Amino acid sequence: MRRVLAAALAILPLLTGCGNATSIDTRALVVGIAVDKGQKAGELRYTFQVPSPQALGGGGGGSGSGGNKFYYPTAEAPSLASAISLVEDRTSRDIYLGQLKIVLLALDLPPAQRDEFLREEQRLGEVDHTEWFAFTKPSAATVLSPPPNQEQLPSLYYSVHFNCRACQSTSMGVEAWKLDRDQMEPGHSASLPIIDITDGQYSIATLGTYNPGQATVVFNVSESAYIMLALGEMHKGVIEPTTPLGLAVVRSLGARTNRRGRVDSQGRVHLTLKVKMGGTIAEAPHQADRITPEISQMVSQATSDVIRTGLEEVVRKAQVHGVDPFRFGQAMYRQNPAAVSRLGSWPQAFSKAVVEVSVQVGTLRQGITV
Amino acid sequence: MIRDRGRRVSPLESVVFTTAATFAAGIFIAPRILVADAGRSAGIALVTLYVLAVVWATVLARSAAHLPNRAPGVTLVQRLPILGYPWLAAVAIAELVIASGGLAAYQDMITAVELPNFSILSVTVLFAVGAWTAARHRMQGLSRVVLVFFTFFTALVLLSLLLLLTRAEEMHTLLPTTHLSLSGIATADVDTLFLFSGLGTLALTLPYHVRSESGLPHIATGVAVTGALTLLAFVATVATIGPDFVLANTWPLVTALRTLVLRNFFLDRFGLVVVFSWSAITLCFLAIHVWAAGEAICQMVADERGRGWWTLGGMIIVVGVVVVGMGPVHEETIARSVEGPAALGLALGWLLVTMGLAWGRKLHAAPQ
Repeated sequence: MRRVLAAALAILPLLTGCGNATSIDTRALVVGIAVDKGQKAGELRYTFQVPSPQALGGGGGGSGSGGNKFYYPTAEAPSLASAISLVEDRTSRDIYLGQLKIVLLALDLPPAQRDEFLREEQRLGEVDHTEWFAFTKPSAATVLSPPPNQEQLPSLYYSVHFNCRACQSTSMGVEAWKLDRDQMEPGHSASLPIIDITDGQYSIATLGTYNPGQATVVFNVSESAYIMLALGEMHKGVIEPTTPLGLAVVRSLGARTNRRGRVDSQGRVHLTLKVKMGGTIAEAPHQADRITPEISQMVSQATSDVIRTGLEEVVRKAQVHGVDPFRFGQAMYRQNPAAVSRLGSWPQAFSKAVVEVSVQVGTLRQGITV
Repeated sequence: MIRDRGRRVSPLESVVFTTAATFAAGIFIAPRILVADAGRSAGIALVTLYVLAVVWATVLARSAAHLPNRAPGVTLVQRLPILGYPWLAAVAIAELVIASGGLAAYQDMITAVELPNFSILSVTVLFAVGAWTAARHRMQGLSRVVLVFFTFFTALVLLSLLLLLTRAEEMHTLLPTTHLSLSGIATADVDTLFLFSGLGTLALTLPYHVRSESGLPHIATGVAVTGALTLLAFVATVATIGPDFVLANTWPLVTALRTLVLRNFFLDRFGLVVVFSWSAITLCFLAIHVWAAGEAICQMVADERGRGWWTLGGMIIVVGVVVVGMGPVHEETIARSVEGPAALGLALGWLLVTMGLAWGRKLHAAPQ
């Protein structure tokens, strides 16, 4: 028996099965994909960001000139699978998406092609679905390459930006698996951050929201901030309310929110959004000598009014466009799936819904009171 | 044949061995089938299934206590050889089928999450050699290997499931509704019988367990531990990715684990590490079932000397079936069409054999 065991162990090195395996040095590890409109109708232009062997071998640790450390194979094709196949024909490496960090979609993609790409991306087995998704205002390929005066490599920049919640005033990052999950649940419009390049720097402060098959609705910086506040994802927002004693500045220290919904006997949807926010009075009203409890109360009330009005305006805009970036439908579906399923089209139900917004602001920290 | 107490395993080894024999790759697909069949009653369906399994294990162990040396297989061969030989031969074949199914299902799962063009053959052969090295020993030796490997990697899985639970957003979807779907629960239980592909094996291990002092047989405790682990995996999966997304995934637990990213930890994709660590758990599963096939033959021929050769032959058959015969087949096909019926047949067969022998022994003892 020992001889049999010894023989079995002796032949193990011969059974590593390397014959039909693909080694690491023949793989192109894609860290970013940019998707733009193609020149031909029905085709998309895919740009893959692949670190060069020099970058993989270390030296630099991810900062420095991105252009030298990455190459960007591109292909125009009707599907991602076709694009990968085309790129593999032009390179000596096997395109591998298991290390993907960011997927960028040009904001002007036709809705049908945008949805088709998202569905296809979901089905790719080798992807972990932990990559971040974003729209881009300039072309996606431009945003995937580092702008001239940007120090960090794009994939690292986005990875750090979206991962560090406390670093940002709002957390807009959307991981692929959450996007996939949300698309499975009725009553949901997907929202992705929009990346822009201003003065050679990345800017991520606006949201694009869409329903499958429909064009993306863009919310401006202020509207996006209110949406993120309603989702409980604002960490360091600045509000400037006008009080009877003049302008004040309040810095948000985070908010807790609650979204609920019900359907009345006539089939009409009633939604409520409750926001509880704590903040610091960064700047007291100009005519106030010092921050007394009364002044604090006055600033809190004025801040509540500003936020409530702002939220109501964004809700109205969302209702007009039939998109629900606030996730009312999702919250309602999780409470009562049958009720939302009975409503049929959530965008239509949301457009006609009665929405009530209540905001409560407390100034938690005042620092010195003069 | 197994008369000395020295060959028996410790209570801890008994429980871990039982859990390793019954904790299989089936839990990767079970959440989807449970949710699809039973909806919000899926959790109840799973609990029902494991309560039945614990009851089965308890009845089996209590019935076997009336038999000489608590060995239903050996007793059946001695009392009713006309039934005993075919039954143990069928058990040996069923154990090899379960081992093949488990290995093929693992291959299917790992191929989907592994690098494309990865050589799965090398893993299979390494598994076979490693598992046979453990399986060729008596249960005492095998249970020690299982104790070390299984405990470590199960702890890793447990840790990852707890980490998943920390960010669960859809816990409320697990709350049972007042509208219990009894037909849904029954369908879910039938469709997930493959979770018990290791249950029948426990009857072969009965002679090796020491008597439990707590009253609950060690195999029942082991099955309960498997139930708790499976329930935790189910809860972590559904509460994290949600029931709607669970339905859209082939391996919902794998998807849930693959979304686990630990920022600032030296291995950020911790969940993926756990998926690969599942190899060790599968290796234990393979070793136990090939050992069980060898044990069935040893009990049939009342001779332990050929155990190494029986298990070697069994392992060659398993690898041959998986590599040549099946290759990577969809896990659900294997689970539903092979492992489920085999599990049910073995569990019911062993229960009937053991209870029948115990009843017959009582009947003989009564006139005296």
